[in-house]
Amino acid sequence: MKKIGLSKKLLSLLISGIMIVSLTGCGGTDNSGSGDASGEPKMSDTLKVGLNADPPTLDPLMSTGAIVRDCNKYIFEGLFEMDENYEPKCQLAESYSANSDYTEYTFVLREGVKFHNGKTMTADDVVASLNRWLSKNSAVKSLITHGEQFEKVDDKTVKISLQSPCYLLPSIMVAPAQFPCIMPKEVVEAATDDKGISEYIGTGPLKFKEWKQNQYLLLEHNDDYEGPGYELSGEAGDKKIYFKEVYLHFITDSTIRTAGIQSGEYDIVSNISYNDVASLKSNSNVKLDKSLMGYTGIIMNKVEGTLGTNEKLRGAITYALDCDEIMNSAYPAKEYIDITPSMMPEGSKWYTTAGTEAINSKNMDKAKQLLAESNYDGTPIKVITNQVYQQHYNGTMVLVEQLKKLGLTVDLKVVDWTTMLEYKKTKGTYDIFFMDYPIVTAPVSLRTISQTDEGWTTWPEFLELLSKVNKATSDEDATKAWEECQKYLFGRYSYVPLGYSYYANATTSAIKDYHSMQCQCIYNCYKSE
Amino acid sequence: MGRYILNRIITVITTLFILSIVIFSITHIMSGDPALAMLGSDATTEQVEELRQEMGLNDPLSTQYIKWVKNAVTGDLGESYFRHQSVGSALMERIGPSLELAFWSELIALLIGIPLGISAAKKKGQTTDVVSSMGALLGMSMPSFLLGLIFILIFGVFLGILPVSGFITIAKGGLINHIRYLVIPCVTMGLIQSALIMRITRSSFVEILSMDYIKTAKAKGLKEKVILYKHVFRNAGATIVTILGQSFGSLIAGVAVLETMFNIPGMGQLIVDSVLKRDYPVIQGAVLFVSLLYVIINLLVDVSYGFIDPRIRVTNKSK
Repeated sequence: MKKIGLSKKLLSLLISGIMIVSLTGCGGTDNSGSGDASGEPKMSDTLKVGLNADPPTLDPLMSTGAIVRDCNKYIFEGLFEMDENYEPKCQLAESYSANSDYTEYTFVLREGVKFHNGKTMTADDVVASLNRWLSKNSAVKSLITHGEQFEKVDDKTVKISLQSPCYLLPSIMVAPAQFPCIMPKEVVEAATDDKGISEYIGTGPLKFKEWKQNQYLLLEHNDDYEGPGYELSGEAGDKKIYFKEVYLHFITDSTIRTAGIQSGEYDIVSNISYNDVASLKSNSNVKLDKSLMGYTGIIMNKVEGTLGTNEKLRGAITYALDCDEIMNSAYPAKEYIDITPSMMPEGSKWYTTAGTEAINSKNMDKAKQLLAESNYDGTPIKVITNQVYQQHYNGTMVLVEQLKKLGLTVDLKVVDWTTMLEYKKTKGTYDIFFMDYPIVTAPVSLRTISQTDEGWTTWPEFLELLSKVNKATSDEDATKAWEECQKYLFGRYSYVPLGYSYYANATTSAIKDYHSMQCQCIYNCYKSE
Repeated sequence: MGRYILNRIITVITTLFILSIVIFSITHIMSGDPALAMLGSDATTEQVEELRQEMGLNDPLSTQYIKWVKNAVTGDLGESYFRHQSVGSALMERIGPSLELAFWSELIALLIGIPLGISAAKKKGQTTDVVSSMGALLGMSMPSFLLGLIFILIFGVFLGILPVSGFITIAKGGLINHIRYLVIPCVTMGLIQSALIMRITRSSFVEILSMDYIKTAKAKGLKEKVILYKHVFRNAGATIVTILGQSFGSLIAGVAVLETMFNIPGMGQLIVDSVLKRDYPVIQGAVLFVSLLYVIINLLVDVSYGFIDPRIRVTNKSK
């Protein structure tokens, strides 16, 4: 009996001890990064991000590559930034206004914005930065065609007077390619035409610290950063960084990026292979995320001397193509694609399905009828692709089979990326290719309607319709004019849109509140230890 | 010896001159435009032409070649189109990691390959020989990136004891961290190279062990260790040194796949990246530099023959 009593006492003591220890464990300092007394996440020392490409430059105007903006967006800001609906929102501009016919814009700048070198941003810096942007950006050059320049009105006001209306100017100013970053006037003036800027001084929440090409870009926290004073939406608003240092590692091998996120070597990786999505889904230490990459399509060359000048042949190809099969092959993880015939994304004000009857119709009867009418003589269709971007290669293989099934002879060339870029700009080197492009904020920036390369879409009737989009003075007029443009293009089988694709991104489970935009976006996310 | 070295130097200069013409021609014949690679696919034709003009790419090829060679002779290999630095400083930055990777890989290869090769030769036809030879065959036929990926999976992902990629200098990360980043790539390359060294060592030893003078040595009652390491090893030395030289040379610039995979900032990665971007000055400068390294390594190997095998010295003197 005594023994039982003793056991009960011991058991009670044990239970009490466990309870005391548990309570002690629950209390005390919270090292989880979940917040201090104010609820703000705790600042962590380092964030390691694995990116899929290596930028050739950090100068936003020296390259149209998406990776350039993905790297420099934390350093540089513009007068506007893109919100979650891909619309422009004031960032370094406090406000802006335009006259009734959109031939004059006035931008009022935020006061007291500091560059990373301590200098205060003025109208002189903005004018220098934006005029350099006008001289370099191909999309804006097609809108502002009379050599107009930004001018200083006073220290906090800048304006531009245009000879033709340009309703789309703010939208163009948030397009990621060749982004109009604001930097000190001295940096702009010291830039050379062949190398660009030599210093990376912006107003962003991270400062440039070190760049080892092919290795990493090291950024450090900008303690003096101040946002425009509204909650973050997309990449516009108050951008909070909860890391003292950020490493953007350039890991071109997707297997290494996947291994890196699984091992915890990287906190965030972008653009993982779609083939790795299924295995990562079952990993409890990894969270998957997606962000809109851009639009995908089949470009048909319409320049003189190519098979693409044969409209009936283009029509036959358009009716024959099974866009579902091509997209599913190119992007094996179905949740990362939207198969849609529209040239602009669903959710955008420009989205329309006007003129899309032939797209993805898989109407082989109609296709063969048009093929017969085209008088196709068996000349091989020149198809080009590359293996640098696996989705291009995979999509092209299916495209080639579908063209052969239609009865066409195909001459396929697989080249490296730099050669692919050259071929795309050289007349006569190809008839057709599969390509994806980064997102655009206005139709004028679509590569698929370029007049000087890609498909060489130079029809005068189309250019007339496009100018109505550019010169519109309201959303309603602009979107209506764009609908007519799309109807015209598809009516002439200019291009076959396949849809939109998303980056498959991943973070470790320690990363909280992560919402990627474009390739990746680390604003407001934090690490819980 | 002095005359021999002088002759070799003259040969080197002639070789490099011919090489410069070949490298320049190949880089400029390649399709792809560096200006377009810099500007990206959204650039217009006018923008590309403007940049080409700035970069001097529209000058006649002969003008570009003469300018490059004249500068190269004075040690100026030009400016990288993409790196905001001279070709010379890019090479100096990259040679360190490549040499380190090559040195440790070669050391691992030697420590594994030579003893295994000797053991296999001694026990020719027995289990040790068969197993070692099969292992060597596997090592020689396995792609280095596959072995590297297997190690990454085991040690980086499953065990989590080594980093999956990257490179950190001692100054930045400390000695331990520096070594941790080198373990997987060095062991990978070391194992692959050890396969070749093992096979060459084995076949040299097998050949020499069947020689009459070795039979004489055995008949005289010399100990096995003395026979192996004093007589056989020295006679096989020339062959082994030859393969070491080739192996080391290939490790410096030939491991581009591994350097790219592990993100090691070495010569191989530099050359591959420059070729992909069409960074002509770096391609030309790097290939010339690597060629020079190969030539120097071969020269050192040739000179070493005289020290390993006195007969070569005597033969040269009598000539």
